[in-house]
Amino acid sequence: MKFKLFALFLATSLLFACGGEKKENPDISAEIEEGIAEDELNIDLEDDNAVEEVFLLPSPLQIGSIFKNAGLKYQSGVVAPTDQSASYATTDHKALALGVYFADMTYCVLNSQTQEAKEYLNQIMMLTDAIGLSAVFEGTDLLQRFENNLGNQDSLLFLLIDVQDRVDMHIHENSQDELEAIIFAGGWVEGMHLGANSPKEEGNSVDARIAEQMTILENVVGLLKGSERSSDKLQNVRTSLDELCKYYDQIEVEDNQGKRGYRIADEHVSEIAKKVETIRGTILNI
Amino acid sequence: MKKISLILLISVIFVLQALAGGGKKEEENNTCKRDESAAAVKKEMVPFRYEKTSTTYITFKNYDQVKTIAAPLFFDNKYKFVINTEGLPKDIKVQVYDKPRGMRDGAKLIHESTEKQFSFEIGEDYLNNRVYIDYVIPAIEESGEDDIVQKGCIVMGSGYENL
Repeated sequence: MKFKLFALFLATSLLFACGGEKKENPDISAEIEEGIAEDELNIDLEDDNAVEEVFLLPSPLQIGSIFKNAGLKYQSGVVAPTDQSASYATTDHKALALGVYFADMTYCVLNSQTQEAKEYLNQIMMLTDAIGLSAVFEGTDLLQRFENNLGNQDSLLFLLIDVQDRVDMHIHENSQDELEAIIFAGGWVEGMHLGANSPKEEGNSVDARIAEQMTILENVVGLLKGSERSSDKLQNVRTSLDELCKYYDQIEVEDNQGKRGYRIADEHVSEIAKKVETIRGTILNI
Repeated sequence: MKKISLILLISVIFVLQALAGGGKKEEENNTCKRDESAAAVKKEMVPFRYEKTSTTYITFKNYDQVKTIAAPLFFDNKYKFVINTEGLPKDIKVQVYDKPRGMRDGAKLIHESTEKQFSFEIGEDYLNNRVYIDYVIPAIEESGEDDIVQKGCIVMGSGYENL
C-alpha cells in the first residue's frame, strides 16, 4: 500500500516536472514573457490583440504653431496661473495641469514672452517631479540652457521639443501611456481656450482652426475612456470632453464645407468656447 | 510515522522538481536600438521641423500581424514621416493608406516600402485629416530557432514644414 502511494506521488511529480521541460504553446509563452518583461523591465510591449490601431497625438508645438499661423495674437492674462502647482492633489490633476502648462509655455515661446515661458518651464519641472517623472530632467541643466537662449526663439523651440520628447519617452518606457493622453487632454483644452479667446480680426482664420482641432477630440476622448484611472477630476474632464465631442458631431454637418475646410458658424464657436472654458475651470480649480 | 516521512519526502521532491521546471525561461533576441534609430530618423527629417518620434515594440509570432499608426494631419500643412526598422530582427513591409483598416475599399496606397529606413511626404494637396501607416509583420517559421523569441522595435518620426 505504501509503495503504491509512493509510486502515485512520484508519477504525479514527474508529470509536473516533465511539464516544465515540455515545449509550451509559443504564442501563449511569448505573451507571458511579455507580461514578465513589462513588470521587470518597465518596457512597454504592446499586446497584439488589444492594440490594433494607435493614434499619434500631435505635439503642443504643432497645435500652437497652427493657431499662430492662423493669426492668433498674444494676449496677456489669458494663460493659466503659475502659483498653484503645489495644490493639485492627485496624479491625474497634476497631469492635466502639466498639459495646460505645456500649451502655455508653447504659446509664450511662440510669442517671444520668454520670461513667462521660463516660469512655465519651472512649473513643468515641478509637476513632472510630482508625478514620478523626476528622472526626465536629471542632468539636463534645462533651466540654465533656457536662460542662455532667451533671445533665440529657434533655440527655445528646439528646447521645447526636447522637453516634450523626454517626457514622452519616459512615460512610454515606464508603461505610463495613460498619462500621455491625460497630459495631452489638458494641453488640448488650454490650446482651445487660447484660440477661442483670440480677438476677431479680418483675415484671421483661428475659428476654422478651432473647428479643425475638434476633429482630433474623438481620439482624445477614446484614449481617456480606455484609461482605468478614475479620479473625480479626470472623470469630470472625460465626461465634459465627451459631451463636447457629441456637440461637435451635431454641428459638424452644418459647418463642414467639403474637403477643403470648415466654415464654422460664430454661434458654434461661442458654444465650443463656453464648453472649453468650463472644462478648463474644472482642470484649474483646486 | 513512516507514512508522514514518506509524504514529506515526496513533497520535497515535488517542490524541487517544480522549481527546476519553473525556472526555465525562453531565450529572446531583442534587436531594438531605440536611441540609434531615433537619431537616424531625426537626421533625415531635415528640412522639416521635427515633431516627435513614436516607438512601436514588436514580438514576431508564428502568424502574420498588422499594426497601424493613425497620424493626424491639419489643412494646408506639409508633413514628412521617416520610418526606421533597423531595430527589427526580420524585415517587414510598411504600407501607407488614406483610409483606416476595415474601410480600404477604394483606398489609395500612398507609399509602400521594405527598406530599413525610408521617408515619405504628405503635401497640401492631400485632402484627408489622417494618414494610416501599417506595419505588416510577417509570421516567422518554427525552425531551429523556435525557442528564441524574436523582438525589436520600429521608430517613426513625424515632422511638418515650419509654419
